Amino acid sequence: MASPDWFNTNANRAYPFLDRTVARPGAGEVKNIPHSAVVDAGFVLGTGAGFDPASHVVRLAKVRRSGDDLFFDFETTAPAMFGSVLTFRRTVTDGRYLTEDADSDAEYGLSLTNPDEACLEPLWSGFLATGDLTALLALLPGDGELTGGTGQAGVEPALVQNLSGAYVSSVSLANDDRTRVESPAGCDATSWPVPPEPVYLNAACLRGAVQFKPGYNAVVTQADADNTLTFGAEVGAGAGQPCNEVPLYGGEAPPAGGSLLSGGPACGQVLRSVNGVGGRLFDVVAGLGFQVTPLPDSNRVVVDCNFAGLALCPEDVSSVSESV
Amino acid sequence: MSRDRVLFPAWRRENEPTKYPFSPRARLVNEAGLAVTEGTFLDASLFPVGAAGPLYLSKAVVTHETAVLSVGDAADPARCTGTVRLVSPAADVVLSDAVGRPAGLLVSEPARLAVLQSWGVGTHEFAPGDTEFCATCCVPTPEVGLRGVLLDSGELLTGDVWLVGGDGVVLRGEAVTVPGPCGTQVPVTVVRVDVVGDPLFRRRLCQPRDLFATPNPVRSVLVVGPDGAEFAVTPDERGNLQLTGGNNLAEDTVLRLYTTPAGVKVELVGGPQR
Repeated sequence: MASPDWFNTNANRAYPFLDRTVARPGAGEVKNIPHSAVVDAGFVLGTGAGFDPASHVVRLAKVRRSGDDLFFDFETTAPAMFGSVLTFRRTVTDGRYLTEDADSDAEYGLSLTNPDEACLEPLWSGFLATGDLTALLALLPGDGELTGGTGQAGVEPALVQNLSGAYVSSVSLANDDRTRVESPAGCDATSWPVPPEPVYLNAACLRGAVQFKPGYNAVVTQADADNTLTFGAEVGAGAGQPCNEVPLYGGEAPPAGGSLLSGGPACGQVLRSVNGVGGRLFDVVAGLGFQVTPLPDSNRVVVDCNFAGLALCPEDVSSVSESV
Repeated sequence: MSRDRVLFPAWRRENEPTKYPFSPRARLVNEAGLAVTEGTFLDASLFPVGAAGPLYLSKAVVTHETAVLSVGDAADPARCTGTVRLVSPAADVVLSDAVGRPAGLLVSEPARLAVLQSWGVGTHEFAPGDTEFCATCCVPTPEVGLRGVLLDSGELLTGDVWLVGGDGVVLRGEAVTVPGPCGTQVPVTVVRVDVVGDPLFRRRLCQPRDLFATPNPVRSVLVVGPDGAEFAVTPDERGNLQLTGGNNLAEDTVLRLYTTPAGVKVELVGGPQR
């Protein structure tokens, strides 16, 4: 006797479904589909699927007929894939042992901030081989559907390749917001041309060959022996020291009245020393002919040239006030 | 005795009396004489990253509570492992590699896995020829491309990995081309890492941040003349303000201004009062 081939064998048993989850009594239910309807299947769960084979399953959720079209809807019980259905389509006149590949409609990749269709991947993919549909069509003579659920039409676990968290699909670049100046107490609030965000997306969905390049004060080393990249900082390394501020995103601008992107004053905008003398305290000492009077309440120092102690008093006594 | 014959046995029942998922040439007994009974496992799907060559059940470490099964190849006998609880085991043995990536599963049933208790506590090792899996159970998963980003902490990042420039670090993506083979230009993406520091690091480090009081530095000096005229003086590019004594209309001024280590001293020169 000739050995029946693989599809022919499967047309007479539950495979690719778990035994006793199909070809069972149950009008209007998926578990009622005959062995001959599906003869092989396989599924690949993508890296974003969150599929755990210890607790999740892949199952035929629904078989629908609409006119001459038959649809096989597969789903998983992984929460991250809720609502993601992998659908295979047949027509009622299709012959035996047709194989179809399909990707899910639901996709993952990016992103709430900058969706890029080129970066999206299907949550999962699969193939389905169907057998003789005659017996199935007897269950669906017209438009209608068979619905499944727990314990119905579960797929053999070895037919599911789980790639959840198995590879890097893409790389995206972003930068934390810089530390921004806040107005001193009693001053008007700083006005930024663009409202600050916690994170700024710089580049999304980098794929293919990605190289790391040391920029300002940066050191990037690669060790082939242990397959590591090390990022370090060293003054003047890489591209040297920057001459200007490095913007976090294109078009970043300082606040109104400021010159630095952080909003703080530049070095030349702060009085750091007088006659080269700096520090927290600066003495103004009155010598012969002068009187220095502080007026703290008005942030003022009065330097009065009053000729006190001098033998000759000129007619025109001048005074100079400085307000600090 | 019944001579009934099932023409199309169920998939698992068909495999039960065979060596499957092990290879037909697998001996199913190790050097110490420990036998892996047919039917212990009914199916398998193995896809550890980087596996090269036939995969085999390399080791079983059995304790009183668990059995840890290792699957690997000749280059790495422990590419992935799965743990079976000997008390109320699950139906399948889920395998993962050293960094937690899924690597497949061994299909069985709780009653069949209970046989692992009979192996005895200890480490049971197998040679490749003892427990080689069927090729159809081994899905090639070459270690090409970037499989993951492993941090020093041991955490593995996969999927869409975000690199975020933190304190004083700015990351930028640049699309460039580099010379390729045969004079071609190959497009690559360059991630430029700039370490620019954080000018306001004290504010960032202050916890809670409200503790940091924004300083209000002196930016200019307002000079009020004797006639009430006002003008502001700002520092030079180094933040310095220069005070000088003198008058460009009179070279013999009596005003003297001295710079001291702590400030300035102003005075007039002349005869003392008698």
